[in-house]
Amino acid sequence: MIELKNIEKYYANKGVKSYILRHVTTTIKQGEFVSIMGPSGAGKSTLLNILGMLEEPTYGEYNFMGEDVTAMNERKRIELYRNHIGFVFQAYHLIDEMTVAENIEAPLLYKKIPGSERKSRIADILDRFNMVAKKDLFPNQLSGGQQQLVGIARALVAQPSIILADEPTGNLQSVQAEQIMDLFKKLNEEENITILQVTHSERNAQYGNRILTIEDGVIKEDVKVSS
Amino acid sequence: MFKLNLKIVLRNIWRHKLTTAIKLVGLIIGLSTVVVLIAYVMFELSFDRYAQNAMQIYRLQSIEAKSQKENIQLPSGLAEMLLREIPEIEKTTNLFTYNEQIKVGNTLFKRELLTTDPVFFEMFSIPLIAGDLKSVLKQPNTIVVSATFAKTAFPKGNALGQSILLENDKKPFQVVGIMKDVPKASHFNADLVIKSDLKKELNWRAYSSVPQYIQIKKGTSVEFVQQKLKSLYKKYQFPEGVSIKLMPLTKIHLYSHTTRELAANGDIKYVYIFSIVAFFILLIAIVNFINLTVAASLKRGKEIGIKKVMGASVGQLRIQFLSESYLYFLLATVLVLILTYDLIPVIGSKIGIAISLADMVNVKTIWISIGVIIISGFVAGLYPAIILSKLMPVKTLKGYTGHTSGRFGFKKILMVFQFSISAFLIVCTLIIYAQLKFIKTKNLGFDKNQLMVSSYRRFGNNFTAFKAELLQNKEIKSVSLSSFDPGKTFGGSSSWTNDNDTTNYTADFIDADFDFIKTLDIKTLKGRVFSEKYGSDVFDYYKAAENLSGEEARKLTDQKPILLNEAAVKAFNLKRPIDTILSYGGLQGKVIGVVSNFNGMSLHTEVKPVAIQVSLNPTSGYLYIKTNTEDLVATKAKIEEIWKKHFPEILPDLQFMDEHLQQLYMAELRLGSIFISFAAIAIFLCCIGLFGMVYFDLEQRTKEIAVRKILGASVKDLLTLLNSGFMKAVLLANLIIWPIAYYLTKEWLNSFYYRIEISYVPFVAALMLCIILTLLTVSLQAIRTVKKSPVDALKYE
Repeated sequence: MIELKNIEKYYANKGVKSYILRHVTTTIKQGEFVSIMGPSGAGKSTLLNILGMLEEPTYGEYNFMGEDVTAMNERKRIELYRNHIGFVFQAYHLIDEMTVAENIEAPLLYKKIPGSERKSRIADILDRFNMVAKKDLFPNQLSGGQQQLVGIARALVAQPSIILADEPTGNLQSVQAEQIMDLFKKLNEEENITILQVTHSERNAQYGNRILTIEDGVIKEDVKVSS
Repeated sequence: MFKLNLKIVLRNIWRHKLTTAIKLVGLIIGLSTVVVLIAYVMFELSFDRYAQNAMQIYRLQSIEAKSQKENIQLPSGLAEMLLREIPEIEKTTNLFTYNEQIKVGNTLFKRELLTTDPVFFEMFSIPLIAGDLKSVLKQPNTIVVSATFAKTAFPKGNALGQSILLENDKKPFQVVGIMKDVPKASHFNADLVIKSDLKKELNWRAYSSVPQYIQIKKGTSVEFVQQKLKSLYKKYQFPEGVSIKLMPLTKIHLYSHTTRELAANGDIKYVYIFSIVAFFILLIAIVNFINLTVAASLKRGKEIGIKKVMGASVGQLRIQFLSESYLYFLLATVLVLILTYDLIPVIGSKIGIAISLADMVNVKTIWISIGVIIISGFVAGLYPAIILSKLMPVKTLKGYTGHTSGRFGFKKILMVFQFSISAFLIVCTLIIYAQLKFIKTKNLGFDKNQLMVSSYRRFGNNFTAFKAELLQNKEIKSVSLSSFDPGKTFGGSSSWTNDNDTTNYTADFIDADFDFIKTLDIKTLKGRVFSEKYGSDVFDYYKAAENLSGEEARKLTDQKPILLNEAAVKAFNLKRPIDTILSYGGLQGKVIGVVSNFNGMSLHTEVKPVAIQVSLNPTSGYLYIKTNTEDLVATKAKIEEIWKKHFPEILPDLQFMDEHLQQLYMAELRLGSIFISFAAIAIFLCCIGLFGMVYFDLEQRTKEIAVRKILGASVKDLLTLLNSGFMKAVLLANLIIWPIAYYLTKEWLNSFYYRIEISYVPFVAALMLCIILTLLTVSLQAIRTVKKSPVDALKYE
């Protein structure tokens, strides 16, 4: 599903290149649950951003579902967001001015899904996440865990084939973190959604079935997790 | 999606009440000012366009080749001659108006009386509400009244057939028609219309100040008529160097500045000035909106980032931000309409035009206003839309606030621009007011204090008794009747060419009674003033000359005593003026004294040679009354009582001289009051814009301020830090406009012969004012943030 070939990312500053990523080459198949680990500043988030097409690699080839992303135009990329990728952030990034239901609805609007279907999908997902009672609340009226649930619900409602999560539990207490990780595992196993998460936590990484370790911009380890 | 975006905007508006209020107030004030100005400018541009054939109507004006001076004084019958000679001319008429006292029943009125031909109603498209257009004004002693006057004078609604007495005619006039009021946007006013008695035969010896008009046929070019006109110069023996110009009717109000206009005209210069000022006020308002929107939206970087990640395209985001801007504009527009509805009459009265909303607002004005609002909404929304939709989600999601030097630089430029406009308006206002103060306080060479003046009145033989009774009151110092109307006319004038060196001379005359010099308190420099003690002063030279031959008569009248002003002495190069006998054209007499120069005309012009001659027992003219009391109002009432006793048929209309003189500077006073209002609006808009910028600046810099505090910065240090950027902008703004303001105000002052010198004071004052207001705006807000405990600010991290 995802193919990275020799991805490099560096910033040229006064002729000196400071590398974030070097020679990153890997393949991620449909249905995998991959955890990206490594120390601060190793390039994990940059890698995730490149995978999510939020940043462009300086060099290298990136194929998403058989298409070359680096050669894509803005419109095509937006198409991909809309139809295939769901994002989950460490800081949740819900829109403060929107209610829970509206936040979840937002990606559907950009996909131009008709109103009746939007309603049923939102109702469906609220129901699944046990949040029906909270649908008219604003993000700041929710706990961190609940906000992240909304964040995940929002990512899922557009029925993506892959979820990119940047330290999804980084701001959460351990009990809430566990719930979120369980949810990810369930989504991966039951709905065959590809999940890519950046995490610091060894424990969270164990929920997945593969761990990529990055150090100084280079993939140091690529191991399968035995469940 | 639109619904959702709308909801978000409304929630944002609700949540950020303060910044919303700032944005809206700025927009409302800016847009209201602009709408009012559009209405005013459109009003000025609409003059005389009510006539259906306005584009075909021209006023005849003569141009003197030598001086290039334009005049509406023409020989009578010129228009008639043109009508006969040039078949492309369809109609002609003449219009002359004056303020006339009229009597209906036992009530006296003073109203504008128009003398013209019956064709006027057709030519100027003034319909008759009652009366027959075909026969109207064809009979002698008939009159047409305006609808408004008919209502006032004949409240029972039976105006037709009633009679009206005019001051000049003993015979009553019969009302034969009621016309629709002449629109306010007209270069003449008329409450009543009678038939003109202008001669129809061309006569180069009978110059008349009655303006003559022609209407050319549709489809004929004015150049063609002008050419044909030129070919007639010889046939009709036009004087050397005089040519006839065709002044388009629709341009009279704004472009014509002859000395005898039918009503006070406007000036295209002021239309330009007001349009430019309106444009700048609009720009300030738009800049405010842009700055505040961008500043506020940087907080929404996250929202933009998320939306992008979820698949929003740049176009969708742009449309979202643009429609948000329009929502503000829509809200503002509603309030603007309400506000301007109340504002236009207020502003109208402030700038000295009695106009109401109904006069100014028409469909065109509304469309233009809406157009301006739509375009400014687009301009104001576009920049934020482009900037914000470009933000990269990676950055915004990391809490990037857009506080880079580049963008802040652009904001600064906009700020400098705003302050430039404010500073410019302040400098101009101060200089205009300095000149207005100069006008008010300048020693005019006569004492305008405690002096009253009437309009031209025909008192008749009872005047002597009236004057005697007035003088019995100890509050009244002196009374005089003369031909001098300050600022308008001295009474008469004469010009002649010196035979030796062919220089042109002109002199104005004042015909006055014995008390004129005393009443106006004009200083005598040499010789003596008129006095009834001298036989030569009370001798009636003209009566004595009646039976003499031409040359002998001239010799005798050359002996009559006259006074000259200094300018005359200088102009005629008189070494020993006293007892010199002058005999040039209309200027003749024996100089008995020299008086100091006095500004009889407005300060726009230099004092010209003036001769004062005595008139024995005058019965008509401008009445001057000098009092020596502080209680002028009571004295005026007392005088009016005596007046009514002696002249029950004449409406008393005394005016205080200083107020009378103010009317000479209506345009300047109007300019002053408009500039002061606009300067205030501009600086206010700048300050609220600044307030908003500081508000966001502080919000973004909370952490920086907290860290600096921990590092040991004092409150003073921080305030200096926060102020310094804005101070630099203000200083720069002022420096930029100094030369421009200097140049433009100098140009304006050049229209005055007597004017102030531009000093550095207005410039420094404007700078100080800007600095003080900026300091206050910034510091009052900053002090709260700065004084907060740094711990609170850093907790958020």
